[in-house]
Order: sequence, then C-alpha cells, then structure tokens
Amino acid sequence: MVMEQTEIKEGADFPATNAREQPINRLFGTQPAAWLYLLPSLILFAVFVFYPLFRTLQLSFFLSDSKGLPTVFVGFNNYARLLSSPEFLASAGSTLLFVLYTVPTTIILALILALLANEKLKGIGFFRTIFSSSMGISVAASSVVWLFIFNPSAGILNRLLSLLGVTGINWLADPNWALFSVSLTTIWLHLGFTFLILLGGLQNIDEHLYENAQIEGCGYWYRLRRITLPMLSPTLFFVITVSMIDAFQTFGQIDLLTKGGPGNATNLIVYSIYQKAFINFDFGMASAEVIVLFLCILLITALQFKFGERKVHYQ
Amino acid sequence: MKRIKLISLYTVLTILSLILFFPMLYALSASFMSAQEVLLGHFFPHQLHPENYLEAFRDVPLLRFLFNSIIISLIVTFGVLIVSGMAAYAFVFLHFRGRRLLFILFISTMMIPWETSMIPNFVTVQHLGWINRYAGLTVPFFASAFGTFLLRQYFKTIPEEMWEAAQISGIGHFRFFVKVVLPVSRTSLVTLGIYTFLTTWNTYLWPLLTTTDERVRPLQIGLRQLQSQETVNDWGVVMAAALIVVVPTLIVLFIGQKHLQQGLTDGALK
Amino acid sequence: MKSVELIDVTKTYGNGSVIIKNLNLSIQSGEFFVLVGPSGCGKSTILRMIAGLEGMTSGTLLIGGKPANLLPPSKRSLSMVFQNYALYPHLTARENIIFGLKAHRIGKDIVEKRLREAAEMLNLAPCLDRKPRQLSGGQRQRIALARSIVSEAPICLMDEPLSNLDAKLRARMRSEIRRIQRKIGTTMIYVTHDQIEAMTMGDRMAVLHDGTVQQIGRPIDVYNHPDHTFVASFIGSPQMNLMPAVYDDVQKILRIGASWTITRELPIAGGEVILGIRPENIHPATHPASAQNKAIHFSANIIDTEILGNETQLTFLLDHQTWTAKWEGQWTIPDQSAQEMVILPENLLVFDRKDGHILYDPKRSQKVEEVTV
Ligand SMILES: Nc1ncnc2c1ncn2[C@@H]1O[C@H](COP(=O)(O)OP(=O)(O)O)[C@@H](O)[C@H]1O
Ligand SMILES: [Mg+2]
Repeated sequence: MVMEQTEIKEGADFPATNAREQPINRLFGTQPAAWLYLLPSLILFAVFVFYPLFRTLQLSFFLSDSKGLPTVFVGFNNYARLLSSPEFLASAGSTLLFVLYTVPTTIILALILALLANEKLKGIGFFRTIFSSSMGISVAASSVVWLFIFNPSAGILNRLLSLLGVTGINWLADPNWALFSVSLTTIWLHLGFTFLILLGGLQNIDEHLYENAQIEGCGYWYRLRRITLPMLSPTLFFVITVSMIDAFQTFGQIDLLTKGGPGNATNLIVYSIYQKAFINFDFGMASAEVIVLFLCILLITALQFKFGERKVHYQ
Repeated sequence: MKRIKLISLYTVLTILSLILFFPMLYALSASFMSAQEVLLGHFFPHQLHPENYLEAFRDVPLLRFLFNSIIISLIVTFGVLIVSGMAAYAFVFLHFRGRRLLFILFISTMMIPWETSMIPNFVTVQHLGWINRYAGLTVPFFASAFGTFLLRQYFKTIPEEMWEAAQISGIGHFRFFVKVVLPVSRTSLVTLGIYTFLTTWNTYLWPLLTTTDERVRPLQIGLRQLQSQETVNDWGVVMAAALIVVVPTLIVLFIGQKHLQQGLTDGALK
Repeated sequence: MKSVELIDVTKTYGNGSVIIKNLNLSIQSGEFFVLVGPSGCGKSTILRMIAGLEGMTSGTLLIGGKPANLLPPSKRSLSMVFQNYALYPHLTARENIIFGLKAHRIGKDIVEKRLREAAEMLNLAPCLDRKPRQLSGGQRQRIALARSIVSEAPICLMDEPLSNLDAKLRARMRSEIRRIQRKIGTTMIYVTHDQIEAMTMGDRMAVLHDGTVQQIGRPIDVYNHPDHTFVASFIGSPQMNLMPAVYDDVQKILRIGASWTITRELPIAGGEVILGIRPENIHPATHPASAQNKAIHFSANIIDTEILGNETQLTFLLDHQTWTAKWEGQWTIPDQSAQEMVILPENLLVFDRKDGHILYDPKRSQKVEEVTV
C-alpha cells in the first residue's frame, strides 16, 4: 500500500522508474541492487534502533526480571511510579536547569570565538585549532582533568580564588555548586564542536555580501546584525538543536564528577536511567523514563522545526 | 589605527586560547609533578617527575586499553564508511520504489536518542554473547543516519551523466561505486571518517555497560578505572593517563580540522 | 555500422505530460543525422531513449534492424558524448578514455593501439596524463570524443557536445567532428539546438518542435523548402520574415497588411495565409533582380542597419511590421530614410495561417501539392 503511494511521488522525480512504461527496468531493474546496498543499514537499524524502541515501549508497561525480560503487565504503573517519585522530579528539574545553563552559554561563547577566528589574519589557523581542540578531548579525560581542577584542596580553582580571598568552595560536593560545576565542564567540552560548526557556517557566507556592505560604508555591528547573523541562522538553528539534544544526553561527566550527587542535584536524566536499569535492575521504570526522555527530545526537535524554521534564512 | 586593531585582536585571541587550553596545560603540568608537589598546589612542577607516566602504565594495562580503543575506533570508522556509503549510493544512484519513504525513515533515526535503545540493546548484545567482545562494541554503531545523510549530500553532486556514461560502457553498479563514486568522494569520506573516529574514541556509556573485562576495555573506561583506583591524591598519575587518552584524538583533530569543519557544515546545511 | 529506427515512439513522463508523440525516424547506417529544435522540445529524451537510459512508453526501437527495446545500454552497440562530457574527475585523461575498455577486459595491446590512434586523431598526446580539472574546455571535449572513439561502437550519440565551448572553438570542432565521423564511418545521431550546427554538419536533419518531428531532410532542402512556419523561422539566421496576409482567389490578389498588395495568381484557395521570405532574398533596387519584369518593387523606411563585415542587415517597417533584409556589401543608410527594394516572386513562400503548413512553394510546386490537398 505504502509503497504504491510513494511510487507515484517518485514518478515526478525519476520517471525512469515508472514501472508501467519500463520493460527495461522490469528486466534488469535497479530494485534488487538497491535493496542489496541498503540491506546492511536496514538490518542494523532494525536490530539496534527500531526493535529496541518498541521493546523499550513494551518494557515500560511491564515489570521485568533481572535479565531485562518482561514478566508482568502493569499498564501505566511504571509511569505513575516514575512521575510520583521525588527522585525523578528532582532529576527532571536538574536536567532542565542544566540545559538552561549550558546551551545558550556554549552557543554565545562559540559564536564569539567563531567571529574572532573568522578574521583573516596570519596564523589564524593556529587559533582555530586551539578553539576547536575540546572536540578531540573525550568526556572521560576532560572530566578527570576538571575533577582535579575542582578539587577543594589541591585544585587550581580554589588556589586562584584564595588569592582573591574566597576560600573553601566545595565545587562538586556542595549542592549549590555541583550543577554549576558540571555545567562549566560541559560548556568547555562542547565549545570545540560548536565553534567548528559555526566557523564553517561563517565561512560559507558569500564574501561579496561583505564587500558590498563595505562599499556602502556599513559598520561592523551593522554588518553583524544585518548580514552575518541572518546568513548564519541555518547554522545556528542546527547548532541549537544539536546542543539541546546533547545536553539531554549528558552522562559521562556525571558518572565521573558527581555520580548524580550531592542529593540528586546533578542526577541528570540519562544518569538516572542508568542507575535504575543497571544498578537497581528496575528495567520497567527505567524504560518509562527512557520514553519520557524520548518524548522530550521529540518535542524539542518538533518545536525547533516549527518555530526555528520561520526565522531562519535558507540559502 | 589598523595596527592597534591588529594587536588587540591578537591579544584577545591569545588570551582566549590560553583560557580555553588552560585545563589541558594544567593537566600536562600536573602530570609531571610528584604527589607532594600537587598537594602544594604548584602550577609548574619545580622538579620534573616523569614517573607518573610509568606509574599509569603499571596501575592499569593502559597499553592494552590504548590498543583496544584504536581497534574499536578503526572498526567502527570503516564499518560506518562502508555501510552508510552503500546506503547513500542506493539513495542517489538507484532509483527504486519507496526511495523517499525509506530515506525519511533513515533520517528519522537521527531523532531517536541513542539512550532509547540502550536497555534492549544491552539485552540483545548479551544474548548474542557479545559482552566483552569487540563485536558488541562496534557492530551496533555501523549504521549511521548522519553518515548516510552526509555522504548522500556529496554523492548528489556527482552528475547523473557519469553514471549514464558508465552504463553505456557496460560498467555495473558495483564497479561504478567502487571505482568512481568512492574515489571522487574522498574528501567527504575522510570527513565522516574523522568524525566517526573521534566520536567512537570518546564513547563512554556503551563500553561502560558492555565491558567488564580489561581485555577489550577502551581507554575511556580504563581512565575511569584508574581514577577510582587512585584514591589518595595521586593526581599526577591520573593526569598522565588523561593526556595519554587525549593525545591520539587531538592529533587526528589537528590534522583533520579543516576537513571536518567544511564537511560537517556542508552535511548539516545542504 | 548500424542503422537506427524509431517506430511510433511515444514518451510520457510520470506526471502525465506527453513529451514525445508518435515519433518515426529512420537513420541509415553511416549517416550523420542531426536532431535539432529549441530547448525543451524533447531532443535529449529521444537520444536517451535510443541509448536505453530512458524507457519508451510505447513504440519500437530497431538497432541494426533488430528490436532493441529491451537491451541494456551497454548492449546497444553505441557510445555517447554528453554535454558536460561526464569525465571522471579523479582519473587522468588517459584513464578516462580507456575506463570502459578496461571493464570489458579488452587486451592491453588493443587498448593501447586504440588509445594511440584516438589521441593522434584528436591531437591529445600532450594532455593524456592530466586530470580533467587541469584541462581546458576544448581539451575535455576531445577527451570525451576520444572515449567514444576508442569504444569503436557502430553508433555514436552526441547531446549538444559543443554548447559549452566558445564560438571560435565551436566552429573548429564542428568540422573536426564531421571529419572524424567521415573517417571512421559511424552512424552519428547528433542533438543540438543550434541551427548552424544542424546546417553544417548533418547529412540529414530532423527539426523537432514540442515532441513532434516537423520536417526531415537534407539541410539544404529543409532550408530552401520548409514545410512549416516553425521550420522556416527556426532554420536560418536572421530568421525568415513571416507576415500575415490574405489571398483573394477571385481577384488573384495577395494583401499584406492594409496597404500592400501583390497581384499574382497562386494555385491555392483564398483565405488567411502567412507570407514568408528569407532576408537574403530582399534586394536593394540596384540589384540585377530588379531588371526582371516579374520583380516586385517596394519602398520601406529603414529603422536600423547593422554592418556585419561584408554584409549588412537592415531592419525596416512595412505596414507596421518589422522586416529584415540581408544585403551583400557595406551599406550606410541613415535611419528613417526610405529605401527602394525588390523581391522576386519565386522566393515567396505561402503558409496556411491556421496550422502553419506550406501552401505554396514556387520552386517545388509539384511536391507541395501532395501536402496541401
Ligand atoms: N524527468 C522528467 N520528468 C518530467 N519531465 C521531464 C523530465 N525530463 C525532461 N522532462 C521534460 O521533457 C521535455 C523535454 O526535455 P529534453 O528532452 O531534455 O529537451 P531538450 O533536450 O530538447 O532540451 C522538457 O519539457 C522537460 O521539462
Ligand atoms: Mg537537452
């Protein structure tokens, strides 16, 4: 059924496949070959993306044994337990705060870096490399380094602050500071990738636009507002979406820096899922939480497309 | 006037570079400090203490982890290039029924966060006996919607006439794919390769779940292991290990930075 | 070498638009056949159907007298040269030329020999080891030609191969392609929108319009005896003057516009017609033609003159219609001045105003009657 429908759509694009008129294609048609080329992807997607998606959905309605196999159907019970658990509410709150702390900051900083690094200067390649370097640094390595930086006694951060007379902040163990500290690490970690993409976006802007603006005597800020940002908006749009999704999926920093603590201050959603599933073996509730995460990300993407696209200038 | 602008620009760039690279410089410096010196809170080691590196290799099988990470990242990189290269080829050069629908299906997998499938995938990998196997660490990542999308964007720039010319001279799809499409798209393959290598090298959660054994464990989890072993403030050793983890990817990134930037922007926006 | 025959071929695209309607073409073995028509009229579609790159909705294709509808492109014994050349950018010129041969496991000696011959024929020796990017447009074009030559296919298809070249090179390549085709004797099917290429290169040509063949014939016959106003205006530059006129078959008068009349008996029924005359058949009054007593004299206001070397193009108004004339020599005539001119009645063509078909062609009247009846 579905195939039939798309076939008509295809007709507009590639009439050569119009089967009715194609004795040629019926004989040595390209379909068998196509499926051969797509088979590896299809099998892998089926096994590792689509099947698990439905399985997770199923699990979220069941109690399960320690091997992760569903046992008793409990309807929405897992969801009810989840939504009424203070731990989940705390973790949802932390996650939202975390997104709020990290995403705008990362993008604004990366944009500033990209604008600076887009100047045509001698040796600019060196600075670009430095600015993008955190992309090559793994979550584990950077977390360990920041763990050291945040160390209350030996870490450089408190050493520096003590010069200013501020002492004794327990960055990762203080519920007031822990999420901030994790956010700082994350911003630093994501800056490289975001910078790289934004720089690419800036370099794709047609030089002539600037030349023309220069001839007309427009100032730097005017050019930034009227040319750069509008022309960059597709890239910004992409970067915002990717950063938000990334933030929702944060795990490594938490595992290495705080283990979700103190209290549940940094128990971000994926870490909370990990604990439920692989520490407490409560696969049912973990799956319910996964589905909630999935819906959140879907919603973000949908909202981005609905509202983001209108403001975006596409070339 | 122009000079002042230039000097201030360089100053700003330098300061920003120092701030951004500070954590790594600090780690580098600490990796050469003895435990006492670390506790004193020096920024520069007063006495070079390279033993930390030897210590790191002694504490955990760091070489083994390094080897595992390289193998895993290479396998995933080539797996992704082959699998998504083939899919992208089908989407561009094979006109089959339901092509558009299938492409939407592919793209939609980008919207499904990987965590969604984490629990069942763990069970699947367990059933396949792939826990503590390279297979379990690599095969689930072979199919890449992003990779397919990126390569498709590039393949689409190859004129249809090239395939037609090949058809007329009796060259089949496979030969055309291998001898024309892949060589012509070398740059985008390199981009995707670098990207995949970096992300695989840096994966954390999945190897944490599927390796309980030091024989296949990658560096990232090795680092976690080392960090949890080094309880008493031997930060120098941990920093040394962190640098060992970081150096290979930084090299890859420094070499491929230009490629990556161009390729990713094109892939994201065209 | 092989003949190519298209019988009742129709092509409809998925969206229902009929691109080719009931096409019949018969191309002889060894012939240089040109398909010419404005862009979008379906030339490429026809060529691609012959090549097998596009399916036919209905109809039969015969290659060398045998049905070929079901053959894959590689089994149709043809080679093709594309407008953008379709060279592989990662291969050198040499590798590009022999890429197809290699796929067929043709012996090394034979490949070398064919390559050498083709390179010699096209003066390619100095650029064989360069990549397409490092070659000029003209050289790329030759590589594409060489690729088609070494395949030694009995049929060669070309789709606007010269349209990406500059004017000077195009003129040279026209004669070069012609020369090579004569030399190796392939059956050539050549698509172009450029009527000059059609006129100068083809043994025969088919003029296409909106997916139908308007006329097939030797270039000179098509030029001199167009079957249709479309052909008349498409072939020839500057194009033929076509003016609405009315023939009164009682008074035997041809009325052009409001005031101009030609009294003359024509073997056609009265009614609305279109009068056609080529610019080069409108002469200045000083031309020897004006001495003939059947000559038709008139005077018109010149609105523009363009001197193109040794000939002059004049635009003038006659009864609010713009006409063009082409005179030999260099004429400097002030604008808005009246000028005496002369035409000979045997150069006048009369077309039906409704369907554009030829009604009267004095130089081949016996043939035309079949058409008009
Ligand atoms: N894939 C297609 N789907 C629908 N219409 C097409 C397709 N390809 C070509 N056409 C239409 O067919 C007509 C003829 O195209 P073509 O043969 O390329 O013309 P020409 O080569 O004479 O310029 C054009 O009007 C074009 O719009
Ligand atoms: Mg065409």
